[in-house]
Amino acid sequence: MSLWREHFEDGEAKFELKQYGSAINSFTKAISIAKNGAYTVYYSRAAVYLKVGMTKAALRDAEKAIDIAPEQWKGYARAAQAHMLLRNSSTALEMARSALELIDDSIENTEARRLLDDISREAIDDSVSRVVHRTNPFTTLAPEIIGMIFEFAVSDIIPLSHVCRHWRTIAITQQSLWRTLVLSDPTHLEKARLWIARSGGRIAKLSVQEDLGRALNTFPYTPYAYNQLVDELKALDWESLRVLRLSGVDLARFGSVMRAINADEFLAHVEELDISTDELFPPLQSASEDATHDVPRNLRALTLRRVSCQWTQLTAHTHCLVSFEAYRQHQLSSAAPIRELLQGNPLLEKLIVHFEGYSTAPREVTEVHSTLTMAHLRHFELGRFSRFTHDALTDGLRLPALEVLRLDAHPQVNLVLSTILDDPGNNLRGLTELRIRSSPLSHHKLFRILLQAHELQKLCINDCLPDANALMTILSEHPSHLYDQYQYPDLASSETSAVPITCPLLAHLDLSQSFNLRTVPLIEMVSARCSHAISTSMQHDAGLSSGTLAAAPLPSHTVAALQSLTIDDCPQIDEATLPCLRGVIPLVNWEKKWNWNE
Amino acid sequence: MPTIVSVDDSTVPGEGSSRLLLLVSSDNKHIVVEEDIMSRSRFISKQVEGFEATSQRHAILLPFSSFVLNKVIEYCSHYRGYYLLEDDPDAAPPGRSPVREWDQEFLDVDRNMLLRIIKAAHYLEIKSLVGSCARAIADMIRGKTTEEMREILGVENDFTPEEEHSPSSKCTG
Repeated sequence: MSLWREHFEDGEAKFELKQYGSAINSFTKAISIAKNGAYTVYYSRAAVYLKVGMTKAALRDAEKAIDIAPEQWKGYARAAQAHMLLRNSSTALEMARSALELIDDSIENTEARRLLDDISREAIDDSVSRVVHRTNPFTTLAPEIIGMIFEFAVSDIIPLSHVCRHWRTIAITQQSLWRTLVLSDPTHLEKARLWIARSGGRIAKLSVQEDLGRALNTFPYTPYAYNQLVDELKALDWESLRVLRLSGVDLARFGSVMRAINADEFLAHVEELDISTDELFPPLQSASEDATHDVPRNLRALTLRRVSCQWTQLTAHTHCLVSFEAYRQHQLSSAAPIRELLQGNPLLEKLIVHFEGYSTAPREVTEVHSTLTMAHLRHFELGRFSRFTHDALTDGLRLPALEVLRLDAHPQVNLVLSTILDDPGNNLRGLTELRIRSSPLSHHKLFRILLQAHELQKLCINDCLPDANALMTILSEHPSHLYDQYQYPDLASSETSAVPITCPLLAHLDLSQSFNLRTVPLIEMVSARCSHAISTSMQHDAGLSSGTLAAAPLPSHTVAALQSLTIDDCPQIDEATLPCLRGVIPLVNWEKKWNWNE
Repeated sequence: MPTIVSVDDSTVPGEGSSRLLLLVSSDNKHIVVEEDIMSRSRFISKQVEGFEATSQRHAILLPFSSFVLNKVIEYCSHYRGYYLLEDDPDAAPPGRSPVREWDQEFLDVDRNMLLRIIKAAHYLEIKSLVGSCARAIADMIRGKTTEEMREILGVENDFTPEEEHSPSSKCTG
């Protein structure tokens, strides 16, 4: 046996024993002695290199083996393996094919043939997926476009940043995606830091949720993590803050926290402010003198829940409010402060004021007000007003843009409606929603409104009318039939006579807690409206098929089909009529919430 | 940048107000279009300014197919003469493009087409169209999980398992 063969066999033995280092040494010795002609040594050393992960060395040996013995398949097979590991799928495929051409069909080579087949298949799959990847235009989009898409798509930035590396890089570098910071827990330290860093400190929307709010309320006796969080907020650029939501925290206390970190101007640029205390705290009496510089200069939307509104202070500091919502407020002895707020904010579009409890203060004598026109007010909602506060608010109030009117538990509901009805500056044509609950409503006022509200889509009359059946009559007839009956001759002359039925666009009707509403009038009303709606749709179809514009029905003649009917707690409605109602109205709610037998 | 080829003046009758441009797509289709239609494209405008400086008019070679190019021309023709704030180079850029109903219908195409249009619009520097396309793509992935987004846009997950669960990812809102 020649010397090189000795080394070679020694190497093979070491390889079997998994002593790869020694195996390589033995093969190297064999190669140095054998000079050329020993392709099996190269081929074997390549196998060891592959085993130890030295793929490029393995490839060199495999190529050497091919050089020495191009007619032997083994060199090509090794090269194919190495190329596959180096992700050169096309070369790997070429090598595997060469090996398969040379290999014979003997049984001892079965394993090798299977391996080569696998390599070829893998190589093909790999090159196909690369072509697909390369031709997918999304992977080659410019980063700024992907960033723009992110900005449109962002509801939660996290899933976006997990798609692939490219996306993550873009998501992290685009400051505008990190401008909404929601903190719900004092332990959200890392989140706050990350968001503040990635937005460059320019958080536009900060929301402090209840658990954290509670911690803020007990400032400065707070745990360590929370103090750190407040520290993180120091890095905020308060000039960028536009929307601030504080849940479970009083603004005055939050203010003192902010001043403690020298963020005196934290509210200066806020346009939308939403403050609510959580249930654990009674409505807070803020320290009013101190809080004056807390009112932002450009406040457009203010929502207060369970937080006492400082009416005079608010009026003094706001001038461009668009939306004002106050819930669960203390009763006032006069409505003058609300009226003044309205006067000071002529752009107001939405006013919601709900009181709670009862007024104990004696009524203040108010003077008769002059006219006040709120040209943009669309949503007017009052709840739980005490007997004394309404008149000063609605006297001479003109709401030409009114769309939504809601009155809850209003003892003087008829006076409010009178003000709106009697003022020639008010246009009921625009009214789309009317909701009156638990108020001593008179038929006369309500019907007069309904006969004029041709755009009304949503009507909600709960626990109000002495006789709800009369309302059914109104809703099933042509308005002109009713002018004489209810003595509205002044309305007869107007364009209302063109309308086929009262409130033609009415789609949602809620008659809950109508204790005397009977089945027959309700069914009659529903069927009357249904038949009008059907004839409308037939006219519409006819108009479409005739193909001329003139044949299409005028909008004023359209009658909408009822989409929903709610008759909860109407004890006189027979349950047996429900299938019939559900046959013509998509959504019918009928629920007994009270026990009538008690 | 596309190569600029000199063309015979007779192919581009460039006199008077409605001058014509010759656009050549990557599949070598020649498309003649009125210059003011394409003025929405900053890229084309710059090219035209170049023509004026050298008083020589050329065909403009574009690196996308005639199919995509025709779609872009349809868009530009629809908004011919309209002022869109995003396309005004002198105006301050708006925060985000507004929703335009016509665009939504116009971009009701498959994913790949949408991506080709946005690339073409980006190349031609038509900001309003880029914005509308971006909005359309965003609509496809909004509210989707990471896995669904990958599937919708055909993006490969190239994270290692450790990267995918890096600590920064745990801070969800």
